[in-house]
Amino acid sequence: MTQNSTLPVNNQAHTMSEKFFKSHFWHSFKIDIVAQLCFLVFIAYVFMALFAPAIAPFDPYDPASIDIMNSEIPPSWSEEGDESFWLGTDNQGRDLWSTILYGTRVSLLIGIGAVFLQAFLGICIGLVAGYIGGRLDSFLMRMADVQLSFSTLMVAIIFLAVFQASFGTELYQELAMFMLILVIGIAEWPQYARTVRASVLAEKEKEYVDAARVIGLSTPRIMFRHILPNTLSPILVISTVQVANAIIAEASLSFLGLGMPASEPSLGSLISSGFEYIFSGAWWITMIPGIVLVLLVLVMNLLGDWLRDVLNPKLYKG
Amino acid sequence: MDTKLNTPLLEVKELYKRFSISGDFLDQLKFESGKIRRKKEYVHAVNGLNLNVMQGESLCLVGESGCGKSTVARLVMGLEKPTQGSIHYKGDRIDTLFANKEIMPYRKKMQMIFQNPYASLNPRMTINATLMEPIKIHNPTWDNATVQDKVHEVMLSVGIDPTWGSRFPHEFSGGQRQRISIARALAVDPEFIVADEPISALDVSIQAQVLNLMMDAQQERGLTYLFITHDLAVVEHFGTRVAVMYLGTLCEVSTAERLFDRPRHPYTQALLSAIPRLNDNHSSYIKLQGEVPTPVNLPSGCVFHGRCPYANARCKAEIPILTEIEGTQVACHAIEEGRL
Repeated sequence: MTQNSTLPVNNQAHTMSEKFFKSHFWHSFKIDIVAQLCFLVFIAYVFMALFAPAIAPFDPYDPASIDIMNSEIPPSWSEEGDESFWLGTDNQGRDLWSTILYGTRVSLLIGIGAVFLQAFLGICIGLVAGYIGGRLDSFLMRMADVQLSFSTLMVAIIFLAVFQASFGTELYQELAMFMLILVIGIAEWPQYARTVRASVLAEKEKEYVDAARVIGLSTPRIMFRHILPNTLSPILVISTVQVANAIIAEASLSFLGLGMPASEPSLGSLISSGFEYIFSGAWWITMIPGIVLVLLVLVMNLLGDWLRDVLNPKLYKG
Repeated sequence: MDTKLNTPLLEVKELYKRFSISGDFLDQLKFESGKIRRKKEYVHAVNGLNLNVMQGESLCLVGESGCGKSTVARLVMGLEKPTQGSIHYKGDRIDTLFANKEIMPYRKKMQMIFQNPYASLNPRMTINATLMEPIKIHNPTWDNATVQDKVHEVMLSVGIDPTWGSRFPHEFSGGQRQRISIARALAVDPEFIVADEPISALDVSIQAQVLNLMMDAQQERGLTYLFITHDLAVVEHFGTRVAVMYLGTLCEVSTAERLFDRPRHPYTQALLSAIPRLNDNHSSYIKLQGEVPTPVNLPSGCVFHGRCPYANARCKAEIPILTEIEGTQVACHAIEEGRL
């Protein structure tokens, strides 16, 4: 029996990989140099973020390894540079390269976490609104409209500022990453809800949904097992763009002093901390994290655009 | 055979269905002669339909497009709720059931075959998964091996190789897909199948195959069909009885033989005379005048009176009722009065 059951699974896995290499998806990836490059850079970022503790020469979170006397040392290739600090140091004497590695990790974590929350909320609300329809649909979509009429940043600033004022800066700094994920996640769910709802409206008119109802499947099962898999490609496309958006939103909030604290800087707070020194000649503290951030967001946007063209040319321009 | 035909399996009584076409509340407000009024408009898809389907027969529901055939099918299957009237299955009323638990026994007995085989199979599910789903949900106590055996059996019975189970619908042709969709309907061993134009999306060469498959299944399993079609040649081949529909009402119900032999209702006569024949002498065409009225503003009286050459004042005022005349049920004042 075990042999019987493993055989077809293997078989299927084999054909699955075979299918992947024959697919339109793989083919369009193979011929698109920009997509390949972006994918490589993105993988490099993910690698850097995952293995930051192993790659980084210093631990920027450990106050014992920081010496204030080392502050504002320029990158090692300039005249006043120091061999042990490749990209120089920031205003507190932290090694910039290590701090950027850890900061990328924080930025990506917040971006992906926020998008998971957005996707969860948006998919559930979009499915229910689209499939059940009627007054519930009108109500949920008007909520989405109201939410969209405020800019994400404004909602986040108000929310975070009120939180900081009422519960104190100390508690806020402890919970900063969690709060950022929560705020950015909740502020952007309408993007998902609208896209999912539009796809659901198209899918639910198809006969396979009627067939599922005639079989006697429950409404949640029809929504999640039959309709959702058929709306996945637009969800995938907006996810890449939304991760980039969330990273930008986090960086903006950090720059404004409402994001990650200076002791655990993200790319945004690093840029912000260097901003005061830019006119005194210490350009590297702002510029280098800035370039890292811009490149990350650019790569994600390009990947998203490519994915959109491949999977679903009809939907959503981020 | 005749005694078996005497027990109606499905009874449809005074069925009405209308769909609102005036949109939401703001769209309904109209500015008329200086006042704002709320105006609602409806499409009257089904108007007072009475229909019995007998055990073991294939009842063909025919009519031109837009006359409400598919709506009747969807109402019978509970995909739409009737505006008025009732539907009974073996004497039990089924249109008012709402809770899933109450409907489930009928879902097992009544199944549906859809028109478009390219849309009726979920593109993201393998054939195995598609066929296993209904079996599992209606037989929750079965183990995997039993379910797999059942899938195997239904695939064989519709002539699909069971080793193709791990494939996706897009890897099959239209005819094969329709067989799979028939297999899905047969998987729960139903008694009654509603087929909504199951062959109209297929190639002519495949139509006969699928039709024969359905007839074989009927003989083997003692199925009852409500077969919806606009193809009269199919009716002659397939139907035990025929119900002719026009603008949401029935105008004639009779056995297939008698209907083709001697159509009574003026609309049926016109419909049958429109079948192209090989030895055609063009004189036998009955040309109807005018257009089919819109189902939004239904004509008063008999819905056919505007195009009927035998219509009189009574036809314009009074809605005719299906009455048995010489073994055929006809809804026509002219026949009732002996004018035709």
